[in-house]
Amino acid sequence: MRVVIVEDQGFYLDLLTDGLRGRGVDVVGRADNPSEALHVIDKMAPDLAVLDISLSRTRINRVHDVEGLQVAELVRADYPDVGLLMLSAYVEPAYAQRLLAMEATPRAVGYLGKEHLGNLDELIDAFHRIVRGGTVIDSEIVNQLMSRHRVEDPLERLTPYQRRILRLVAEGHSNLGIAQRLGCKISNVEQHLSTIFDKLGLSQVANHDRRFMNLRVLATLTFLRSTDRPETMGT
Amino acid sequence: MVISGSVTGLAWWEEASARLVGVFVTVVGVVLWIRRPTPRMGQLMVLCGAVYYFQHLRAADGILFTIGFCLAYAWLGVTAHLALAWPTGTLEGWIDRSYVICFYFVSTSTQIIRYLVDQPRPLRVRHLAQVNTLWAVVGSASGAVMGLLGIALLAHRWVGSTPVKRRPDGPVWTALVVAAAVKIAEAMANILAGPAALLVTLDSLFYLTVIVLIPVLYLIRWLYRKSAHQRVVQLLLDLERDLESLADPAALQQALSQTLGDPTLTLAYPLDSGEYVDIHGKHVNLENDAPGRSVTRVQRRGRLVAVIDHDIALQEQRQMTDAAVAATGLAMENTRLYASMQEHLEQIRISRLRLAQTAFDERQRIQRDLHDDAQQRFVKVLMLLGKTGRQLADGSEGMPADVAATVRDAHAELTDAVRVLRELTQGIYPAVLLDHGLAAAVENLADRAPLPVSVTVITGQWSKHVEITAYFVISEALTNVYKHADATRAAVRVREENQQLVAEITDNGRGGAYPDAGFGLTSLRHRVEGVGGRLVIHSEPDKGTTLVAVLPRST
Repeated sequence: MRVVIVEDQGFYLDLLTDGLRGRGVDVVGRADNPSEALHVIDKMAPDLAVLDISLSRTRINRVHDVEGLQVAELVRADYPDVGLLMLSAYVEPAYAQRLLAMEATPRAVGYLGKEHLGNLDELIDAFHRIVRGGTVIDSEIVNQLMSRHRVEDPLERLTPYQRRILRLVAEGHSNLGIAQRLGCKISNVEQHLSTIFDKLGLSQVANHDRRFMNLRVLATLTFLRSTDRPETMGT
Repeated sequence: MVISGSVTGLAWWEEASARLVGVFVTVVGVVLWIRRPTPRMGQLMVLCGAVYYFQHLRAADGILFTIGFCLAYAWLGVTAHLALAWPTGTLEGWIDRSYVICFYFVSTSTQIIRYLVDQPRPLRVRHLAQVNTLWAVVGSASGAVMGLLGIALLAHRWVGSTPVKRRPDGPVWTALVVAAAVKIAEAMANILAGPAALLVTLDSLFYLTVIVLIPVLYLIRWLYRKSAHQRVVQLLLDLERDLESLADPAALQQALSQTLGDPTLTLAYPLDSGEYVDIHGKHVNLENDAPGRSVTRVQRRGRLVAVIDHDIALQEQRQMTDAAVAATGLAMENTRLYASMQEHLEQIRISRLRLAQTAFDERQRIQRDLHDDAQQRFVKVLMLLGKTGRQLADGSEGMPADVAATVRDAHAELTDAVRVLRELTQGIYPAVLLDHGLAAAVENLADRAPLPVSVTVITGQWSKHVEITAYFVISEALTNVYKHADATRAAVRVREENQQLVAEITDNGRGGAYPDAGFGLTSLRHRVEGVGGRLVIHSEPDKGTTLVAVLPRST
């Protein structure tokens, strides 16, 4: 697996490079600013680019700091085959939605918080999932959205088991991945998914085509994020 | 004049004064007529000057003589009219009017009777060959009586008038009395058939008196105006030099009273209720028109700032009064502006202090959060690492498993610490607000809320500063809801209205929250007012709380 790392903080850049190389990951290029990042990715044609969302921490006027996201969008437009993993100190649902909505048939993206550097096994597992064309969303984001308080919580219509499946869907796991994690048959997962989709009215969740995995994650996140209908506050 | 031109044997001044006095009075009358202040006085004087020359028709023959003879003393009636109509040109009260009518009647009727009874012939020379008939004596006597009555009326006026009126009118009254006295003396001399030379001298003296007194009166009036103008200028200079000393209503009233020469002048200030208070704050009633008083309103920029209750005589020196009132208005406006500026500065000073305090409180909170949570976790990791070190040094049985467990604990603890730090930094400043705007940031608040919060944010063209303020207001308002409102749900609505950002935070809690009752609403208000916005809170008990922050588009 050929990986390019884009990170403006030297400390993280070195740590990640060393850690990944120690695990046999082929780090073929590094960059600490957007233009160098585009150049390196262009030259090395990696399987995966690991990008920090914020790339201008060292600058004094930090006005609009999502250069990592912009680089990701440019790379996706020019080289759709390069998998993209955003690593950020912030885990924001808004960033996840923006990443997942990048193009008509987006694929192979991930978004993880930087604390995942503390568990390289998990991180490399995420790398593999993305390189295979999958989607990885930080469980923190999914937690945040799943635990959101709602006046009429549609999630209450799901069984705890179904909620667990929905959570895995939102984190980007494929039906097979979910089946493996839950130790059940893939047909069982598919069955539950169609129930969930019935209960929530989420059509894309039931789409089993791997190429649309991102769309189903996006739909799930958007659903989880949708605010309650504005209603009167009267008791 | 042409008709009476053939008269000879008189001293030049006797001749000239008698002929010119009418012209003189007419000219002065025309000037007064044209120079607006008292056109009616001017008209009366012109009439007086014209009527004066009727007596000279006595030198003619036929009907002209008749008219001249009958109306020879009609001018005295006009003069009395003038004297009592001073300075407005109109007669006040029935006494004055009856007196003037009476005078007109006496001055003409006695002559008509004389004409009918005495059958006089045309005169070529004044006062010569005058036969002192009974009716001539009656005419002179009645004229003298009327003159004395006129003096009495003027004296009565003097006694009954205020110092304000006496000052400009006194010289006029004195002059009138002097002229009347001369004329009465002449009448008495006529009655007593004094020597012709005395009669002519007294007659001419009267005309001379009139001719001399009118310019003297004008001079006095001019000097009086001059000094009045100087006093107004002085008032303006005082205002310029020492505005604050006149900020005191009492000082202002005194300055105005001195300037206008009216010791009875009082200032009153309007209240919002439509009532008035004097300089001591006592209620005063200005509605009923007291006799001899007048009320002048002082307005600045279409706003009534004060009213001045003063002697009605000040109306006669309108220009000066207006100038002083304008100066006072300026002073009042200035003192008001000065006071409001001081108040504004004080508000700014207080809000700066509050902002400093808010910033300090914020630092304290961050310090506490870092210390209470993150630091404790790091210390725990340190201890776990220390434990690992000891386990490795001991090298006892089962070591790898123990070490692995401790390291796993340390790992978990550190992961938590990182999460805590991230939440903390998000709280200090949400990065998503900068990158994705207010809507995304408020959604995040709703994501983390312990109760259902619906969010409707209509994105507008707001500056970052406005969005940041709105975010913190919403964030703090929601925190208040969680802490105090006892609510089961809340709603956040952000919209644009008249180029302003309107953020509305509603809950269904117990209500009854007021800015002064703590609940962190005061600091919220300071924050909003600090950027020139305003905060409105509706919070009736048991009806929830609605908090509306209105922020100007750019701050």
